Amino acid sequence: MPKTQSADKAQRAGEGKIATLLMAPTVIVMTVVGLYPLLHSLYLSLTNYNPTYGDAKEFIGLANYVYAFEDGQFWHSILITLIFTAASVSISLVLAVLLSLLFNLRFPGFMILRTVILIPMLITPVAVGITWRIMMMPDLGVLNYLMGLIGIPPALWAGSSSTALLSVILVDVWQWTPFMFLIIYAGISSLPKTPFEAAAIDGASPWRMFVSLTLPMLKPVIVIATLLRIVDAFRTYDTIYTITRGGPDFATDVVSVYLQRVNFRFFDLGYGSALSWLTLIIVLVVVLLFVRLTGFMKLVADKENR
Amino acid sequence: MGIQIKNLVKRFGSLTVVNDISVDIKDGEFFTLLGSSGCGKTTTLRMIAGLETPSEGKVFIHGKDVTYAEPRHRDIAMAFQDYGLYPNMSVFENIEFPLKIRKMPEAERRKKVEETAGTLGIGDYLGRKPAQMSGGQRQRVSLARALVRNPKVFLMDEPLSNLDAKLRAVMRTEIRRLVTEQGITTVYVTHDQIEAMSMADRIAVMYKGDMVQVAPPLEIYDRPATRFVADFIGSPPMNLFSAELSKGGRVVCQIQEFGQALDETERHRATQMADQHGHFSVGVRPEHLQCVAAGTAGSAEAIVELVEPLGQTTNIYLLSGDQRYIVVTDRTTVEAGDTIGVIAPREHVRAVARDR
Amino acid sequence: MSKPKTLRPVLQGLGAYALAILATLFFAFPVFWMASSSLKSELDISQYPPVFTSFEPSLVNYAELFTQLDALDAFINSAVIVAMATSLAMICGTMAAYALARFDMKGKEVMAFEVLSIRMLPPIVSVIPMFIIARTLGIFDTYWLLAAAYGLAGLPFVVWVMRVFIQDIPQSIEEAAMIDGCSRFETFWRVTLPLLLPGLAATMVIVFMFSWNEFLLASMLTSQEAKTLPVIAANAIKPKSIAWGLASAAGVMMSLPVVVLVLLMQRYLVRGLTLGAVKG
Repeated sequence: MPKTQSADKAQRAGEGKIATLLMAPTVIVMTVVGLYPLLHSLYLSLTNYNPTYGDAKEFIGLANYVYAFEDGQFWHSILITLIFTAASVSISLVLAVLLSLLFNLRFPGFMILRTVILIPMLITPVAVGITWRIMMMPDLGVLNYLMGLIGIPPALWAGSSSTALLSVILVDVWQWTPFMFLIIYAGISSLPKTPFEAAAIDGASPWRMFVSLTLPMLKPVIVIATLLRIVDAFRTYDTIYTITRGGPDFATDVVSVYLQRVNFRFFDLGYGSALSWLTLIIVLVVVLLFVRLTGFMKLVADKENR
Repeated sequence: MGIQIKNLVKRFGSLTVVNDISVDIKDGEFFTLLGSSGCGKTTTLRMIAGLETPSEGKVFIHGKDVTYAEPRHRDIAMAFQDYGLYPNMSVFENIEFPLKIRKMPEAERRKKVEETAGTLGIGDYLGRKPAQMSGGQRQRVSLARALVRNPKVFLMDEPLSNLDAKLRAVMRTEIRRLVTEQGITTVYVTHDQIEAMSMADRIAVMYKGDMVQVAPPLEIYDRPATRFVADFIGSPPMNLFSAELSKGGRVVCQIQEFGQALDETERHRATQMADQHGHFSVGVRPEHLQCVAAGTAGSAEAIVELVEPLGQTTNIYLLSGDQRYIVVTDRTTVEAGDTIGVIAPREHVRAVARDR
Repeated sequence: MSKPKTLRPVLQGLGAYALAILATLFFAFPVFWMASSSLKSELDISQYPPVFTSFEPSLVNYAELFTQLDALDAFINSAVIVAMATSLAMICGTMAAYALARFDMKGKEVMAFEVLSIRMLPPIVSVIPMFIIARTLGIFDTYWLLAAAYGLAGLPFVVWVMRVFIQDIPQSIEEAAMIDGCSRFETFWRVTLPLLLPGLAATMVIVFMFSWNEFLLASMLTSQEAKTLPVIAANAIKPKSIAWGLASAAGVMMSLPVVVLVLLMQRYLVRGLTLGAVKG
């Protein structure tokens, strides 16, 4: 192995300093703009800071955290977020795999359709929220009209607490399936052909090939796409804020929306910081669980060692 | 003047890749570093080039200490295994690049590039991009880029290993001719013994970071210093038989008849190279062993396991006791299963040191 | 017997086309609806049943964007903030990526971990301290604050992705340049950078997209002066009366630059979006 090591990263006279110099701006920015606020927020979470009552703050230890554990509204929003994330990510994953298989047939014209499908992920999330809110209007909305054409009774969409969560999940699926589709399609189209030819000669059915060849070979790509989506879905704010602001009846009160309310409606910044930290820990746990279950680190390491 | 390497050491972490090597490469010499992958030959070359800083030791080029000089201040040229061509530049621009960096006037540059490209037979491809060329053509571009500067020192890192066998043979003679004509001091890294044998003035065989033998090709072939060298050079390789020097200076060999064939000089060498237990090896090249009728005086008895006719020569695989070895002869009537005698001619039996 | 054999692939092909077109319609229709709503008058937009194509397109909403919502100011704000953030992230990030890719460094794992964890950080965690710091420093509602925040958000991404793009360039090309007489810097400038341009462009477009579309930080860390496009678009939605046409026009205006830029850079997009893990 020394040969590859030396070919990749040579040690040359006087160059250690260059590397440090090149790293310096990034390290400074990350420390000043990244690490410091983070630690500051950790400190705030141990105080009762609330600027509406003046700038004075008391150190109150873990009281915010103790309170958070009894805050039903917070855990409700965590639950909503988990449901939202799980549903949205799994639906868009399935859709993306199906779309990738379909578009991998590469009939003439599919390239253009594929490009059109990518557009939703590029639309500003606030604009996505606005557009869907227009389309989902119960009385004037085009969705109820279209459903009426094929005989489906009109729905209240985001206006009713029973369908609101489903509605925002639909919007998230619409916006982010293209993202997963883009990645998984790239994965599918770069798969080697020979295993499939061998399987065809062995008499495998298309379904068999999909289960035994396509899916296992796609696993790294699927895992990476899913992980990126989980992290992003967990902090979804823009679309939900524009469509429902967490309502009706807190049916779509995801954690970002709830935190925004605590922080910038009630200005309970000490408590808000504590909740932020709890959220961060929950995200980490979810991600670590996912990483553990899928062997993500091993996939990454394999890629690095190629 | 050439290149001097003094007590060069390179460590990566706890791993010692090059272990205290010293060598004097003469002006205009074609010097080859030969060894299997991971033996430290490429690292040694990269330290001469300045692409790697030695952990210890010094490198001199033309008498100047360049151990810590940047590559650009060493006045060297280099050819890489994967050619290292600039993919975004045309062939012309690739060859022109070192001249441009040196701020040579444009008219002169054009003349030199065309001249060098002509010598290497790529004059017609100057407008192409590297991606539009075959491996052999790309290697010619990389050679042209190196030679266009009239370098005094040319370093080559396995330049032929990505080419097919036929092209390799052509390029071998061509490279040798070019650098000899221009009197360039060349250090050539390869794992291919045929390249080393056919091109080099001197070969340095490297093994686990050590230079185990530095000598002209035929000397390396005839008198390999260690088992590794004996085994690495020649195809099929030298037959090696474990041997031991007893207290009285007697040689005990796995195949006693071969051990007794050592002449005075080799016996003397054996006493010098044997380890503290008196162990060494007796080596005979396959083409030097002679097959005779079983029971001939001075012959070792052997059973023929397999006969492999190759047309020009024939490989006979033999078994004496539990020792397998090979004889290369002309065409033969010997068949598998026969019992024959094998004679090792006195002038071809060598003492070979064990590896450290 | 030969009839079903020739008919089946044809039917399957037609089925595939039908599915593909259906899927495309699902993903394209809301985009069409946004674009067409932005061109409808107040009257057309509240028609029921909705009008699809039979309306008189008017640019009234776009004009109102500038008269009612100060869209020009917001556009300039967005452009300046995003340009500052993108340059900060690209310059610092590419330098660091080069160091990580090409030099043997101590503490690289720590660095990699820090880079990744900032990427995972929900913005909601850092928004409070930023809010407080901004007020203390007096940079609340200025370009600087958002530019720094977006720069930071983009930085780890740039480091990670550019490292992969740099590693894609064989080291021997750079070494050849050094042997040919270049210094480290010349090597980077004359040889590495030209080869890196497509990757740089793709990375830049993605960082641009993240910053341009960002709403959460923008809405909380600005109030008047430094409002960006997403903030004014969201302001078009008032709890009681919603200016649908106006909001749609704002949506189109925001989204258009991203859509155009990204579709131009499609080739390297997958590599960038997956942090270099998947080749496009």
